[in-house]
Amino acid sequence: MTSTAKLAARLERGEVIDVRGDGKAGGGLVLVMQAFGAALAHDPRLAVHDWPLFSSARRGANVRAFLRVARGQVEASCQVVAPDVALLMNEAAALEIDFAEGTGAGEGAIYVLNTRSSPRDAAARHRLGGVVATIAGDDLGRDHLGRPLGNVPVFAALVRATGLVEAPLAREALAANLARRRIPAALAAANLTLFDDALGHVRLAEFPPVLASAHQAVRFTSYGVLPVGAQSPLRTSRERQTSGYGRPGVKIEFADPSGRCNGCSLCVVQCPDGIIEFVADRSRGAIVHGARFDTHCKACRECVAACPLDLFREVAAVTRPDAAIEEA
Amino acid sequence: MATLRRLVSPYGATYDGAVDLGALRAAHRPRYLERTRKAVDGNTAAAIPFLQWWRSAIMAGFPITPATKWLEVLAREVAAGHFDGPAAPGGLPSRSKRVKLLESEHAVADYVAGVAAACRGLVVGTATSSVGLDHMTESVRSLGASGLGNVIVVDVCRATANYPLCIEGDPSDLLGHRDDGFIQVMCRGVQQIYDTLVQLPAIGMHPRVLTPTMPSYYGIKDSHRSGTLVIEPDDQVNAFLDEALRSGEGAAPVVEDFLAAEGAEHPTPPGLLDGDTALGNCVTGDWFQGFKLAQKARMAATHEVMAEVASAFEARFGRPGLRPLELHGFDDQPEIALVCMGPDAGTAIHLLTRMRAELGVRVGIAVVRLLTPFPARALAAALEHVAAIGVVNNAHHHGRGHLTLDVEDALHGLARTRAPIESYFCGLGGADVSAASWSHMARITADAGTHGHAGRRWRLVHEGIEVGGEDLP
Repeated sequence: MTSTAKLAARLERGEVIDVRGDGKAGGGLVLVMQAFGAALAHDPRLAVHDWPLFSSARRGANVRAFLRVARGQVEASCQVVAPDVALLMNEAAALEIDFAEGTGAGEGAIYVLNTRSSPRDAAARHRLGGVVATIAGDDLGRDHLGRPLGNVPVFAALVRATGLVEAPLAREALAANLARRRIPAALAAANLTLFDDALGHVRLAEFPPVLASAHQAVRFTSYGVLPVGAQSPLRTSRERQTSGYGRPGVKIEFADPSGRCNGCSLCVVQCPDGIIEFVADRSRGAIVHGARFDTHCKACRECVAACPLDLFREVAAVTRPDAAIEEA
Repeated sequence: MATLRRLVSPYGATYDGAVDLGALRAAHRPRYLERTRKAVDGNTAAAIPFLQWWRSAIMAGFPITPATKWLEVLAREVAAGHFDGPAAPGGLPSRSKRVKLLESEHAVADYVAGVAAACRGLVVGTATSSVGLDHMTESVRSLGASGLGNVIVVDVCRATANYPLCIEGDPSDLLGHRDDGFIQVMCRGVQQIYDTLVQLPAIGMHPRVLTPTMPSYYGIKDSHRSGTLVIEPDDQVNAFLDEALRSGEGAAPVVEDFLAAEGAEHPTPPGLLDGDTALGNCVTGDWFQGFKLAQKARMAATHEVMAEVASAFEARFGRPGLRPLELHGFDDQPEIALVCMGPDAGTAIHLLTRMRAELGVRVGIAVVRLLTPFPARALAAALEHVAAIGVVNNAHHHGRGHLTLDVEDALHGLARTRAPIESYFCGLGGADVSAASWSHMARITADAGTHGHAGRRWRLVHEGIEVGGEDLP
């Protein structure tokens, strides 16, 4: 019996199925969970809860989302710590956390990953045992939508890997979710075509269970000593560089060869990380000459939007996730 | 709105432009014609009754995370034309509902007070959170005493603290407004949120209560958690409220009676009538105490009226009505009890069987739904015979915890029990209250049941371990 069939059987027995997803803010993780939840809730016997976990994080920060489904009622509201299904929307998110945490015990979970890698390579890289589904979601998103947005392909992979809802029902739930979000008709249609295409691009394989210790949660021990007033050293510390929160594939550049900066300081004020470098000029204001892009820029684009002279711009960078991981 | 009329108040004052409730009722365009099942989040569940009540003509608000979606849902539905009537010749369609966006929360609270005072037959609501509720403080405290039971301030709980800013759910905002004079009810899950909203105006607007209401649910954990909601048809929701306002003690006057009457045979309600100011009346200290006594009596009447409303709700809709306490695992006289509230109480209920098996102790869970007025008698009766009690506080407090103080007061004042009360903080700022944390709190409480108070005034529990606490001398 495959893990997929076991999942359905457990649901039949009245057990609660836990799903957890990791990704980056703005990457579409919430849409995946909502659409999956709505598709499951089509069965009136099932109770489904789904909810995101995020802070006041900007685009690019790690985010999490949960889904819990059971026959009858779902009462538990605590976070999912031992998921039956673990989803990784963006491999860059896994540089900071173990997306499979808590899945090691028992007979293996179902893993869904947005990656160009094969299930075998992904399983080896992340030490996964159980059903592993991979899909090159960003590439498919680029083909259909012109943007490396992998959420709809990942939804298709989740539907295929879990086998808990039929594809047409999932498509219907996706369409309803897009309509609710007031996505323009042409873009919604492109997303649905993307979903159809993605169903055929899901790669599935099953691997033997790994050691239970492979994904053991790191036990919380103490808060340690925290700074007064929550003035976190995060922003500018050498050790905790915020560029790790950046979106993969892009970076921000500043170029002002002819000295056009008018000293308006809008970028200085808007930058959430306070990394704009400037020289104070008594008559002209803050004359900007750069920023600590490589170490602390999250590519949030605030400076790009703020600068009246368009001196900041977003440019393509080496895509971090696959490249970084393959190097390692 | 073509729903205004001339009105003569019991004082003989004449008002032009008073709301014509009959016309407003007739103008209502039902949003749900039949019982509907829908996947929604908590904020949407809290918004839907405002779409359904014919009495809810004006909703006001100012956005604040995590409550913003309440306002967005209402604004979207109204803007989509669901409540548009036929267009006036050469003009825009008349609308039976309006959403008013204002510059800040203090203005929202003032506006809500004004609309509610202008017509006590309307249900007037807003939703806010955290510092938004704090920003309403001046008006909200006045509102609490005004007798305007037709006001609903939905509080989507979020820690009242901006150092550090934390958008996740923590009831410190709600608990910071315990004595503002609102009936405060905690909900968890979309169905409880919706059902509570449907019932609350029947309590708040009841002639014996006439006290504004503050339904609440935790930010993110419930505001952003989607689940399947059963929505009742508009005609049922409205009939429920209309009938509830006409029941009670048989001949008890209802708001419309005050409005329609020439004033002679009915007592003057607290606060004033349509068009008169309900706020800012000035009295001397001697009289102030009297007003407070009357306010307290109206607040206390909540207990009885809530029971009547809950029974009527159960009879009509077939789901549990609003009760001040939920008791789980109390069928076999529990040995220890955990008192808690909010979404995390759901986790405790889910884990109840497992906790009992782990400890070999009969554990009971008492979930507090009604925070103000606190159901001290009901709690004392439920916990009188347990050997130890653990109270789980989700909000920061410089003492043993808000909820702990209430539980101690209820038990030591009314139940004549000296059972040890262990006080826990868990889930501050919306932190996860994990299965390991519940196990730990249950174990400490069970030990206290066997060996007496375990020696710490309070403990902060996170992920199953004590990360802070205060030892007794």
